[in-house]
Amino acid sequence: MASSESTTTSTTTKVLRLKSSDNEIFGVEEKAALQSETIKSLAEDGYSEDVIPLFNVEKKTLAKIVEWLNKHASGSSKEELKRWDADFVDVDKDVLYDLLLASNYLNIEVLLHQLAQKVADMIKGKKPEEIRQLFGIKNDFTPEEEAEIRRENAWAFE
Amino acid sequence: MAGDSEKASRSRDQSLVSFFNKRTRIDNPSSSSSPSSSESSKFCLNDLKDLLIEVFQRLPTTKSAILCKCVCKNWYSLISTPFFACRFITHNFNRQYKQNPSALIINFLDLTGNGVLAFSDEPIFKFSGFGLNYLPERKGLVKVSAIFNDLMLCSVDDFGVGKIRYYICNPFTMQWVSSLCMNMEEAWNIKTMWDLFVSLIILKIAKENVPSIADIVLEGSGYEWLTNVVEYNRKLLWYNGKQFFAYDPFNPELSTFIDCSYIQSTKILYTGDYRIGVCQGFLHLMEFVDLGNSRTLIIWKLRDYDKWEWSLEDHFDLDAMIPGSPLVQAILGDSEHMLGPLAFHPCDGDIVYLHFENFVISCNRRTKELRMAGTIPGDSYFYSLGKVFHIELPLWPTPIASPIEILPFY
Repeated sequence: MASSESTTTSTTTKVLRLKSSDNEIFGVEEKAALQSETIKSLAEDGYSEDVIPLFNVEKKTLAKIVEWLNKHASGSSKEELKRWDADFVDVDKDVLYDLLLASNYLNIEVLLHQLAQKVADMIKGKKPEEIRQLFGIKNDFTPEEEAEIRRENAWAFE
Repeated sequence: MAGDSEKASRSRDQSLVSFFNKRTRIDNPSSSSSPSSSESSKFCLNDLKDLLIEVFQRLPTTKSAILCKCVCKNWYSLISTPFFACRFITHNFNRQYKQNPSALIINFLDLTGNGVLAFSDEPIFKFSGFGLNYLPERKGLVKVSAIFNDLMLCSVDDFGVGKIRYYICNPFTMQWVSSLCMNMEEAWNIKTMWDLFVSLIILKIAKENVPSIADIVLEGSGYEWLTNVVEYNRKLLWYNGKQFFAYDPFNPELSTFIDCSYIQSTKILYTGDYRIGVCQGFLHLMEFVDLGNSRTLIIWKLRDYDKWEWSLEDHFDLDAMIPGSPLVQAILGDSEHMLGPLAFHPCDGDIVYLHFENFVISCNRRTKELRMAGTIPGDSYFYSLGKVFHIELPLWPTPIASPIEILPFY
């Protein structure tokens, strides 16, 4: 097993050890880690003594997630947290995508909602073609179908 | 960690793999060893239906969500479902969405025929759907007879064949459904009550179910019921200056007349100018009272719907306000005609709309200011009989899919 870089300081608080898909281990205080429903159910299943393997999250993403979990368990004021969250989701879209997948997989509802809001903010005010370009989505409508959809939703295009 | 737990841990890891594979279908997004693949293709939201819905429901406006329908087939089908409409409405309702955009809908008549004006500051109402050009037989005269939510009951007079055709349409989606066709002579015999009658039919009152009400309304007082129809408290309301007729589409047998003549006691000379409307969620009534030299505008508010308790909100001398607004004074000139009531602002309690001929004038009853707000196209004479309605773009436009679903309440 890879050597742990985590600083499992011997304190009274319990620390869970999370292992990324590329075998990096992160120590996270239980209180912070349990914001993830997935980790919570694993811990309840008896994994809390061992390393909790998170096969779908690689280390750079897990590092960000751990950062978020710690911040949100730190008892920061609401205003500070709001500012911090705005910075946190201000990342390029590949990182955003990894975070979305990870928070979905880890079932961290609050984070997931923040990230979904960020994506919605990226979409708003853009034309369909700009949205396709932004997210690399292929236009799979025929020209006739697209014209028909534009016609039936014309008020949104004016 | 104790060495002997290593084995157990590993086998547990194995079982976890299958556990996660079952639990989530997301593919491992890492694959950091593929720098050659294009960066933009990585963001593949389409794999994640649930996430997409979470994203779409957070879009700030209905319009931006509708635009997303045009991105690709997957997005189109996700956003088109009633399930999504519910999610979107719930989400936006929960976060105290600001007032829905709204407009006054005013019928007008000009040389080219009738038209419908959407009077609003909101850009969304500049939409051509309010021109009703998509209705068939549009060459006739078109007007609006009633509005419920975002659905309009429109009539088109077709002089060519002597028929009046009724349609229900949603001006935002431009969907429509044909509802009734009537010979003009028949319609004219019923005169202005025809609109009311049709409204009732549209709202699925079977006449035989409530003969008394239908008869009273139809054979009743004719012109005096020519007032704007207001949707309030899930009922449609008419007012004839003395009483209200409240039609309950959900329980037609509970439809009633409510005598409100007692609130007229303050009137010295009744002018017959009145409007009802909903402002900030309360039913309001404005009336003009002639006190000899000056006209007073009186505004009532329905405090308690169940008891029909009105409170006097405001009363002020309109004529005294006119000199404060040179523009309005210039328009009025020496005319014998006077300002008439038009409508309530749906959300700004300070504003009521008045009109003089075709000119729409906003009256701020807090600052006592009159301001030109716009003009209604067409002939001012015909306008004086026009009706004014209030339309609101709800969080999601009401679909008109088939004649079965024409009822706006479902």
